[in-house]
Amino acid sequence: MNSALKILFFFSLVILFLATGCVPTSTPPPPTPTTIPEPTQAAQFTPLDGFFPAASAIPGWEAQDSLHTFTRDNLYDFVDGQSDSFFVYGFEQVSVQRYTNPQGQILNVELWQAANPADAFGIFQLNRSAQAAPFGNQGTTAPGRRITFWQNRYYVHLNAPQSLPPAELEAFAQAVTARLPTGGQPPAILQRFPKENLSGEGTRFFHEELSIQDDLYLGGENALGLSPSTDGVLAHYTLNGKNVRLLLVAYPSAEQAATGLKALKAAGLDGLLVSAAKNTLLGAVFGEVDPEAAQKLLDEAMQ
Amino acid sequence: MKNLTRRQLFKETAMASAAALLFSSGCAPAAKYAKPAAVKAFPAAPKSTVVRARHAGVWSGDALQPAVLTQLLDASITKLTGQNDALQAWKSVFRPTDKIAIKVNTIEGSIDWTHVPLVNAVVARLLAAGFPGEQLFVFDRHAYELTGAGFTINQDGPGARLVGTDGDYTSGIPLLDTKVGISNILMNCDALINMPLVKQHMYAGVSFSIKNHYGTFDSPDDFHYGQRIEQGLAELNALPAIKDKTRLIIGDALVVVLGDNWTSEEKNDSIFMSFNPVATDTYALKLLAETKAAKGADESVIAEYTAKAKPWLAHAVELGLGTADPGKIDYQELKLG
Repeated sequence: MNSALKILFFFSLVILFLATGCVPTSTPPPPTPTTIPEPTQAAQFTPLDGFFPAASAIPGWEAQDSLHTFTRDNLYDFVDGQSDSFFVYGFEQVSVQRYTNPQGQILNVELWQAANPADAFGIFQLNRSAQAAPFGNQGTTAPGRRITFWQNRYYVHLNAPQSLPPAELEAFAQAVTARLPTGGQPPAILQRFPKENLSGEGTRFFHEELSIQDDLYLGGENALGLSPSTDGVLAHYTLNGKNVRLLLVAYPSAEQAATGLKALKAAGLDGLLVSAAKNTLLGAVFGEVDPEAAQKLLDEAMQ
Repeated sequence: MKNLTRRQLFKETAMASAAALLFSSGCAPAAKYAKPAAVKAFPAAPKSTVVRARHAGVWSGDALQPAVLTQLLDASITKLTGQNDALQAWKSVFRPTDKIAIKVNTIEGSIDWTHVPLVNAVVARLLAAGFPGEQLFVFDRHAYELTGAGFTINQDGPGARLVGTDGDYTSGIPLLDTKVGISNILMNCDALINMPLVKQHMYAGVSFSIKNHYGTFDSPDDFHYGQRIEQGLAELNALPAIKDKTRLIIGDALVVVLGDNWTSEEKNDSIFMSFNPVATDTYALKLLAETKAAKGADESVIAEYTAKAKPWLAHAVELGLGTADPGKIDYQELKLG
């Protein structure tokens, strides 16, 4: 009898371990030294390593760890699940290289590859700093902390966790811009925007509602029928001391623009002042300014 | 094996089985993680205290001022615990032998991370309160993310340890319809100090303490969309390995990171401290809304981000992780300078 009970004792322990499905933790391995995860390499895209400054290319700085690349498969890991905000700009891959100097200071250089220059411009527009910087087709900087610019179909983001001499960031930006292919035009729809009264917030190019949801709420249900084939711009103006937003969307067809307008009017959105469709273009003004001023702005943009 | 009576054997079998269940599921017996009396945790405390300590001089240009950070921390811990002496207050939240995990936020794609000087100030106060460096483990998902955010790895040198989980997880812990791994750094510690940074998030609305577990667990990609985020965030925090060990929230609100993919930041002057993650996140969401409003965001936009956070906050309340009811929160705002 005792033997049977002993067997029962051990058997019950085994069952409980298996049932919980856990690995015992009594002797976990010690934390390992710095390791770089191996994200899936995008087989269809050319690696971006040639665009980064080589080791020691910038005096006093060395590349730390290896270049690592994120694709559509694992971008969530890089941006805390917010990959969609890049997918809507034709995201293809991003590579990141870290550099360090003898003082232990860090500079992270990110190179984002989009499907085309317009999309690279779109990503850049989301990431502008306050001060202009002379890199790529257009650049901005928070001196000593950050430089962003776009060139061809690439968006470049240099970010330091601590302040650096601005000249050191600029040296990196210069080195990257010299390695990237040149060219690339901003989206044509930007030409439509009246420059007068454009506020410091500037414009935001987008394809889908997701890209402007933290600026202008359109209901979250894609009432306007936006898609990768629509080009839109949201711009901020100051009219009569009031902040207004001008929304323009270029659809593939006039019929889609008309349908979009109908949906916009039916959506009951806060702050919608005036709206119109003309050929393939949909336009609307949101804000608190008097309707006459809003109509004038819209007419100018829809010409 | 000694001879046992049937009653003795069944009693010992039951006890051993219970112990096996607890340990194999990554949990130690509850008594081991019972919180010290000074930790007035929900729901035992009539109100959950959230301290927001502010100091206009915490930033000098782009540099944080260590002395001011210490002032903010000490004012917060004394207010939170109701004690007069800061070091005694720090001591009262932990046991002398506690191994303390300190979870920071250093995700690579961000533009700001839990600030190194703030973490250094927390570690300095714990050391001053008598906790040896080898009992302190500042950690996040990857060592390379920690270094990218300005931290210096310290595997076994003097002072607090600073290490990445780097794939070292205890696997097989049930969460919703799957199983996840929990960082062995946390598993091997007795208490957790959660040190998030206030960030806008396109799906969660706000990312703060409840969402600061990239690297605490191994599969965040499974829990970021729709109901997965609404349910998963709270369920993750309700796992014993996280819930039972979460001892203190020290929230970094020295900047508020804005934009759906963290495109800009606004400097701020605050830290949050609380025992209650739900109450803390409720006020972090409020701070995010205020910051967006100050930047000119429409009410409808702010309402949308608040709406994104409500479901997972509500589920966290359902799971007993804390309260989001302002009537049950003792919110203390301290202006120190």
